[in-house]
Formats: sequence, structure tokens, C-alpha cells
Amino acid sequence: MDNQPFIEAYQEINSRFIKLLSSMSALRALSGFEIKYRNEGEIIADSLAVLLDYHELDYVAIFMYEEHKHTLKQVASKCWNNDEKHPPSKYNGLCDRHQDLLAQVENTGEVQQINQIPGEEFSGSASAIPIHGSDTLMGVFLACHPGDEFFSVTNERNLLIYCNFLGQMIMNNRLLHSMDDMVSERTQQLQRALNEASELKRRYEELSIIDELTQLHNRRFFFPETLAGLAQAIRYKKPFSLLVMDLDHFKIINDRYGHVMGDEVLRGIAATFKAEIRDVDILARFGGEEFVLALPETDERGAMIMAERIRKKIKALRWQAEGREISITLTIGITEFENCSSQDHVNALDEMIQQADQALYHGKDNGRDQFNTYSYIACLMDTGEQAK
Amino acid sequence: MTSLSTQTVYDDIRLTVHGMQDLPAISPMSTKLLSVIGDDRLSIHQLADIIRQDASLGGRIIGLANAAYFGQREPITSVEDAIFKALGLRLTQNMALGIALSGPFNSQVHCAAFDMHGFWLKAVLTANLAQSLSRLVRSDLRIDVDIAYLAGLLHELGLLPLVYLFPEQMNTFFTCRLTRHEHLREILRKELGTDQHEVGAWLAMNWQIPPAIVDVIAHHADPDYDGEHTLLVLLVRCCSRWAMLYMENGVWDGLPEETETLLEYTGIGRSEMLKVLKQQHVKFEAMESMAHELVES
Repeated sequence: MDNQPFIEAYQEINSRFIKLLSSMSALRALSGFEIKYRNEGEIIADSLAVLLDYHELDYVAIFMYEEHKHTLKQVASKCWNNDEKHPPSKYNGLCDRHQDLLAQVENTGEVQQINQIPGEEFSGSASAIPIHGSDTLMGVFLACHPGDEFFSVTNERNLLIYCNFLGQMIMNNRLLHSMDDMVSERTQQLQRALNEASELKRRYEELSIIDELTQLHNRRFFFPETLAGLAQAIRYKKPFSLLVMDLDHFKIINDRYGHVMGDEVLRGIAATFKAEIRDVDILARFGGEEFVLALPETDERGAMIMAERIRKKIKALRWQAEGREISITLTIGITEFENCSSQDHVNALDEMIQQADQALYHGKDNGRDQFNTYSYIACLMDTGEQAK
Repeated sequence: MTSLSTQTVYDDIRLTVHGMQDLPAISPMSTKLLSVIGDDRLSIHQLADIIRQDASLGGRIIGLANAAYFGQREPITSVEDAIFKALGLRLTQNMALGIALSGPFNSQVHCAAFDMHGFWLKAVLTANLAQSLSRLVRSDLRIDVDIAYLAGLLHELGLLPLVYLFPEQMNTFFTCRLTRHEHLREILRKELGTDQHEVGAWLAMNWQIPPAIVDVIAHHADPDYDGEHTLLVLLVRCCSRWAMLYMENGVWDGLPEETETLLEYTGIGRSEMLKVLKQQHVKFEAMESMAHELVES
């Protein structure tokens, strides 16, 4: 029997089978690519290496559109000898026919090929295949083979499938990256908003206990702090004093030099107070020009020394306004816990504030720029009562 | 001899080898395939035995099994694995049959100076030696016995496409080698711009043969080779030299100079080695007479 027809049929089928197997192998290798955390250039270069492994090609290159640009740029190329830096000289530059081929794909969006490139520099065949992602043309794949008429329908079909896969892969990679970028941008925005919110929170919390003008604590801070200190003093039978301080004729400064000047005076006073007190002392701005100072572990005598020191310091302060020198004085009322009838710290504090106020008004009524203790004015009041 | 443009010839050879999908079988055993193929009782091992003794068949079958399509994690290096893990009995049988059907590798017609029978014997002997010795190599050096066999079988694969594609030219070169006492490799370099080792590596890569074996094909003739597979290359070079000397003399006489390096490198004892050579002597004689019968019939 003549085997020849069978042999030829076998060889034909075998050749197709092996080409299909190679094509499937290339697709399988491509499908196994890890695209996460890799840039597009690397993925494209690897995809070309796979193609060269499985298709009998001599030279392959991929051209992509740059972002927001309308011209194709070569992003990767590979040669059969796997030596990108020293490709055979004929691939150093693409010939005009290759450029035409790319342009035709750009215009038509369809596969284009040339079967013989005349000229000494280059001979053989080339095929240019569009790379689509969704419906957009993202780039062009160029394959060269030194043999004439290499790109049969089957070959071209196999390469087209490969390019479609590659296009989808690049598209997914871009989506993944843009999603990553978007997530990181949104995260940054959120972080900024969060920082702003916590800064605001901190500020409002501070504002509620801090007097914005003088940066001293206000009543909201003073009462709980002082009550705690006083309770402790009562429990451990320690002395505890309270000073109420009021600037003399402060209204005149405001009226004459304006609120800006008044504010500056208040800030100066506050700074002086802060410099004079101890860490354990509790100082607060109570109202316009009224301040209160609680002195733990300090008896009336100690409080008097402190009051006198503060009075002198304040009196020595100077400001300049409208070419004139401004100064101010301070009247202080003092009391200590020992003067209180109540042993309950809440009532005791109310009582102490009233007592200190009385001592303060006594000073105001008697020429200002002075301190008085409640025990002293109580004595005076007793004498007055008796005199009546 | 006509002087051709070496670059053009080089490009032509590369192109043809690159597109080469298979080669006719060379072993006298492969003709047996035609007689047993209709036999449903043909076992995988019988089929594997036939394929294993032929560089064209074995190389192609193992190469196909290594195509990414079959998704093997580790490269396939034995014919059995090619059948069991990737191709299956039917496909292997059909591929082998097709190759066998293409007719014997008839070098005698146009390339009388190429000793096909000797080529085949040397390949199988080298393969058997490499496989037996690889079992004795220190375990930490990790030489796979199947890779060693396949590397031995295919190490001179490159000669086949050259003889197949350029029988007349190769005939001249073989004759030249004898008359001028030049190495074939140098003649080929001069005349074609390439040599049997480079061509063999092209074909092996094209056939998806595992890289270790491609390295052996490309470098086994290079005594200074130092690369990823130095040990395997040294082993095959040594076995190939032994096989050649043995075929020339019919006895294990005058061990090649590489022997000492190999023994030192692999930790194989001299007595163990001699035992292997003795076993192979027995095997070889049986193989030769069987081949003789097959050719005669």
C-alpha cells in the first residue's frame, strides 16, 4: 500500500495540532500571569517572551497609546535571540512598510499584514494586530517573520486571540491600578477630614474650658477643679484659700482706648498671674475683669503674701496707648476655708466665694489697689454691729 | 566546496530548525511501532521502551508534554511521565506512529558518510551510562536520573536536523573531517556559521525540552562550561566520550581525562564506576544484536 497520502495527511494534521497546542500553551502561560502590583510595561514584556516561546516568530513588538496622546509609542520588543540590547541589526529601526502597517491598523482597527518586504534590509512577512480593551484601540502588536507569506489565516487567528486576551489583561490591570489610585486618594481625603475633625474637636473642648482672650481657664474648669481640691483639703484637714481679684476702673481703658487696648491689658494681666502662681494653684477668668485664684495648702497668711505680690506686679505693668503710658491696679478679696461654717465642699466653696467677694467690695469701697481678708472685714462688721 | 554567504545560510538554518516540528525516527526499534501499533495489548511500558530509545521520538514526545497547555508544575523528563501526566496513551501512540510512518531517517541516500546506526548506538549508550552513573552521584548534588538519560539521548540532537536538511553538504563535511582531520564543529562553524550544538539547542528549545537538557546539548563539548547545570554537562560529556571510545575499541580501555574530574566532583567510587561500565558492556552487546536483527528483518 502506498503510505504517502497518509503520511502527508498526518503531517498536515500534526502540524496544525502542534500549532494549536503552541497557541493554547501561549494563552495558558498568559492566563497564569500575576498582574497585581506589576506595571504595564513588565506585563507586556513578559507577554512577548511567552509569544516567542510558542510561536515561530523572529521579532515581536508592542506599541501603545500614551495616556491622553494620540500617537503610538513602542513599549516593548523582543527578538528570537532574546537579546533586547543587541537585536539583529535589521530590527534596529522599523522600516516604512512597518510604519504603514501600524498606521493602517490605527485607521481601520483591523488586522493588517504584508507578505514580502522588498529591499535588502528586511525581507519576510509581518503582521500588525490591534489590541483592544473594551471597545477602544489601546495599541498595536507587530510580529515579524523572516519567511515570506508566514502569516496564514490560522496563524493570524491565533495571534488575534492572544492579542484579545492581552488587551483584556491590560485593561483589567489599568482598572485595578486606577481603583487602587482612587482608593488611596479617597483614603487620603478621609484622613485629612478626620484630622480636621479631631483638631476641631480638640479646639472646641479647649474652648469650653479656656477663655479664648486670655488663655486662662474659665468657670467651667474652675468649679470642678476647685471642688476636688477643696474636698481633699477638708478630708486631710489642710488649709485652703481663695482670692477674688478685680481690675480697678478697667471700663475707663476700654472706653478711652478701645477694646483692642482693653484686650491687650487683659492678656498682660493674665500672663502676670500665670507667672506668679504655682502649678497646684487654680486660676480662672470669672467674668470681664474679674479673676479667681484657689490656693491649695495655703492659709490666710500665705494667701496674703501671694495677693500682695500679685498686686505689686500688676501695678508695675505698663502699656503704651495714643502716646500715653497706661497702668492699672487690682483689688483683691481673700478668704480661707477655716472661715466657713459648712463642712460640705460644695457649700463651702459657695460660701468662700461670697466671703472673698465681700472682702473685695470692701477694698473697692475703701480706695481700691489693695487686698483685704474676709476675717478682717468680718471683724470690722462685728464691731459695727456692736456699735449699733 | 562552494563558499556561501555564511550569514544567509545561518539565517536559513535557524529559520528552518525553528519551524521544524518533528524529525524522522532514527532507531531501528521505531519500525517496530508500525507492526505493533494495531495491537490493543500494547502497554504503556512497551510504547515507552520504544520511544525511549530514539532521540527524534523521545525528544518530541517529552517536548510536547512540556507545552504549557498541559500545565505541569515540574518539567516532564521521562517518557512514562509524558504519557501518564500529559499526553495519554492514544495521543502518544498516534504521534509516535506518525513519526515512524514518515519513514526511516534515510541518511544513506544522500549522506552516506553519516553513520546513522553508530549515531543511534552512541546516543543510547551515553543515555544508559549517564542514567546509571547519576544514581551513584552524591545525593546532595541532586541529579535526576530521567534528566540524565534524556540528556544523554539528546546531547547530539543537532546533527539530525543538519543531516536531514543538508544531506549532501553534510556528506562533504563528514568526508572532510576524515580526510583533513578537522573537528566537525570547526568545519560547520566555518562553512555554515553555526554548529551541531547550537542547532541542537535551537531545536530543543523549539520543542520545549527542559532547559537543563538544552544546556547539555549546547555546552557538552565545551570543557570550560561553568553554568547552572555544570555537573549534568560534565556527566554527559564524560559518558559521551566513554561511549565513543568504547565504540571504537569494543572495550572500556583508556578512560578519558574527564573521568577523574567527574569522580572527584560527584563522589562516585572508582569500583562502582567500573561495575556500571561492565553492566553496560553486557547491555550494549544485547542491544547491538537486537538492532542488527531488526535491521536485517
